[in-house]
Amino acid sequence: MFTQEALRPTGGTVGTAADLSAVTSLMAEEETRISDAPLYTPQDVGVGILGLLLSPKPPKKDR
Amino acid sequence: MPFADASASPHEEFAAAVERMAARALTVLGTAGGAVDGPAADSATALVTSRADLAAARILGADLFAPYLLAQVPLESGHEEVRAMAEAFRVFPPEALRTATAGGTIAWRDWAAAELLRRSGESTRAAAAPPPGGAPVADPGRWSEWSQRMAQLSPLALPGLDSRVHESARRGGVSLGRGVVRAMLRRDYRTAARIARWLALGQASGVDSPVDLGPVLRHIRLFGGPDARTALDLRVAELLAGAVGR
Amino acid sequence: MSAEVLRTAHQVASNALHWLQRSAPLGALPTGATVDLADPENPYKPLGETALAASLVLREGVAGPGDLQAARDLLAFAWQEFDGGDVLYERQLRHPMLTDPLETYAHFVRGGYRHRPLGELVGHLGALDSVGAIEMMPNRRLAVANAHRVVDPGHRSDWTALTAACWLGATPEPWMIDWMTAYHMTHTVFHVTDWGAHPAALPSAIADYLRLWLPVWIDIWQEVGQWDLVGELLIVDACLEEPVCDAQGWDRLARAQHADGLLPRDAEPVDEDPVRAFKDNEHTAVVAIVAGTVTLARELGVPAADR
Repeated sequence: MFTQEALRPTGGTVGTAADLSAVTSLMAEEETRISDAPLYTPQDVGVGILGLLLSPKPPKKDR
Repeated sequence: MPFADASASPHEEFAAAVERMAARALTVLGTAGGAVDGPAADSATALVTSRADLAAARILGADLFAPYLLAQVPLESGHEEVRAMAEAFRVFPPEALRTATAGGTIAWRDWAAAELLRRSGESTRAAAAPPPGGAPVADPGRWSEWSQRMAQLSPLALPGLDSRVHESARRGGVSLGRGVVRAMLRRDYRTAARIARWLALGQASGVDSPVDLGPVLRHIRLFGGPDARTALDLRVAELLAGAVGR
Repeated sequence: MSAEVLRTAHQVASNALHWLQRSAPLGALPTGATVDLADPENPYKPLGETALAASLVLREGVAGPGDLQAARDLLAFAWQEFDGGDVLYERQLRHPMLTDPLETYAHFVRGGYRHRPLGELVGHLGALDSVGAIEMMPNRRLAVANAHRVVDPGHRSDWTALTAACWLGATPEPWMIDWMTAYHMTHTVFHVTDWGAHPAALPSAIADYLRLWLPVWIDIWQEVGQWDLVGELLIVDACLEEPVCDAQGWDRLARAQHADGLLPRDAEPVDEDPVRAFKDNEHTAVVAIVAGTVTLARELGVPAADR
């Protein structure tokens, strides 16, 4: 059981702009901003060179 | 228990509350696949004890009632979740939310929660609102944006609800499939679980999914991290897809 | 596919072709080269890739006269680098179990060049059980089969079995793919269709699978700037009887391409040293040329194999 008193926020029924903004952003969440799509990994290199004649050059940086 | 930390923003506070509430719904769903006999089994702590909890109820929306719908137990005005949602609608009225942000997403989520409240016999002003116009339409040429929108509308993906959104989900199977695969490859398992719910709902009513859901859902379970909201979306999808949970 | 996208594809390919032509001397074989396969900077492979791109431009004939001439010049340059085929011949004699001399030779044959002794040699070796059973990646085996087919149209291979052995042959979960597997997948399509000459050679189950998932793969990899891979995925699309991709891939490539025609392989900064920049991004130029060529060819005319 919950009490009515605990629910009445101080200062009226409708929340602050920050409250409302928080509710709506948590209701309509966006997808992750940064993709974590698979990229080149160093262990692919050996397979690549030996396996494919027409294969891409491994990038300079390790991942 | 939850006295809000004075330095926490509403966003942080409400996010934590949603996690707790989602975890609670998961507990109910977890037992016997969602069977509910009446007031929530876990009544040791009240469902709502703070304003943040009310926000959480609003945020979860129709998902607060997921255990009932999935077990096909009718909602009644005496149910704790119903009373919590009704109070949440009073404290965070739909009109107030719609001024805070544009878009049909909030309106549709509100409609779903309000519709379920209406069926329970609980009357709220919001319950009278008809489904909003301008539902996102399945457009294969815009499969990425559309499927992301459908992810935001995942609480509507419950048995017992039907609308233009559900119709477009039935027609947009390919776009949903592409959306799931995209989310999986981006390793955004939260979005993947939400889109998968729509495919699972479709599958439950005889619409084939272009991607095999069993492995997808198992993968999200293993890779999706500890987040309770994601786990809740996943659990709903599993139950709809007929996957047997652990 | 809209006229605008075709124009973009043509522009990207043409710019890349002329960049490749201007930069080609940077990819010449060192004098007195005994080619060392273990060296990842080996210029032998890029020369073969240059020949591939040029041969496809000539095969399709959808390019303007300037581009056609550039392709002819590039092919002639590469053939000269291989001493009119003698380098490939010597290499095959020295290493009879290597298949790359055949694979490289095929591009020149496609472009109208022949080296009689080399042709005889690869024919003999290709008929040996041992060579046919060499341990190699399934998609590489398809490469060899296609090379045989190009050099000798009468050569027979079990395409069904070869394709079924590839990752793509399993039409697996489209969300369980990594960067290297994506390249294996693209090459499977390249070789089965001979770079878009035989779109109908792709089994319909695989074509249907690709039409569903190609747009997703292009989307996720263009988002992270993997231009080389995006280009290969666009080639795959053009190898389908009914391409499915929208303008997004081509538009992104066009935006990534430098004013001088260099198309970066990924989102990393291009090396300031022109030799380094060439070696790092030469493959992507080849990809862009092939992608544009086959894309235009698919839209404009009859597949090469049906002419």
